[in-house]
Amino acid sequence: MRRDIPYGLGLLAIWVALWQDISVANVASGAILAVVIVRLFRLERAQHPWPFRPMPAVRFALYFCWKLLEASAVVAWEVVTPRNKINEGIVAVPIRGWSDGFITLVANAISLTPGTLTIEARRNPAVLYVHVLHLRDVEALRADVLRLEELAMQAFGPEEALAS
Amino acid sequence: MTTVTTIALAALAFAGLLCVVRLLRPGSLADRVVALDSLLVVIVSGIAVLAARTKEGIFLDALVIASLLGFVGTVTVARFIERRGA
Amino acid sequence: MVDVIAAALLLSGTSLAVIAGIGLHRFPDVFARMHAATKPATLGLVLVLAGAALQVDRPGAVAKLLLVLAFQFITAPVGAHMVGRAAYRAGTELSPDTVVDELADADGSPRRKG
Repeated sequence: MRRDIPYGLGLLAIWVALWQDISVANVASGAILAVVIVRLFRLERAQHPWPFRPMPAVRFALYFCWKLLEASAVVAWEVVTPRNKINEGIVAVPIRGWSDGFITLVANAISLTPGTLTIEARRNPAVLYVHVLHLRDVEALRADVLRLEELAMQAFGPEEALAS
Repeated sequence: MTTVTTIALAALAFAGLLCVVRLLRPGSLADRVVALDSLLVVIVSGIAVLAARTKEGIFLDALVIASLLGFVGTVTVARFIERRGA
Repeated sequence: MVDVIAAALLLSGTSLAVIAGIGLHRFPDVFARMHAATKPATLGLVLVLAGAALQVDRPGAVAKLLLVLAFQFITAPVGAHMVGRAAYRAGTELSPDTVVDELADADGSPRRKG
């Protein structure tokens, strides 16, 4: 029951944002709807709540935004220059996946970084198959992905994983 | 501002045309889904530019619905490809 | 001044959308085209939405635009991933430039390299 509260609050925020009306009636009806939805649709919730560390999370967010800018620049450069320097490949990257949500977060973040796109994700063991546009060095690519995963782990990972 | 939005809309029209041509060119179903997804992003950008041009907030509801439906459509066709082949 | 910033945002956003469109034609195979369709398109959409947020008169509109933005951020990579996975499983040919294909090794499925 306690774990439902963030979902309910999130739904309420979306409701208020869509109606753009912060009157009592609107918030009340939104709250009722949020409670009903959260009760009716019991999604698979994470076993334990995710930790959230603000400073590493900000670092992760900034790194991610920078990578997104770089990604669009790489694609734009490839489009504009006449000769094709594309060297595709699909690389397997084993990551430390401590929960499905975390694997999803890393897989989505990879898809928005320059030149990489997650094609397949497996659990047990947690491996991501990443399709790369400009593939020069397989090990360098794995290091890049693991760096992104490390930043995410710092921000959202469990305590025991950080100790290692 | 009006000239800027006109240029922006013309550029988006060109981008949309490219997506439609990609859609019609012979290729696999996955190609066409990708083209449709890009076309959807172009449309959403177009609505946003129109909202900036007329300074009306009414169009923004259409933005939310368009992106929702676009995502659902893309995922549906993706699952279809998985089952029945491209 | 705000107008100038909004104009710059709108123009850069739409030029990224045009780049995405050109990329759809220039790249040699489906997976590369997905790169072109997701990354510049998402960034272009971010810029255009930011420009529109500066221009629309109602202050509450920013919340709606942020909602669309968050939604696109979450769903664009997921959509691309699903299409890519489906295309791979359906046996789409990879372009002849492909260097390494570790997924084939893991799956053991025969791939046709065009």
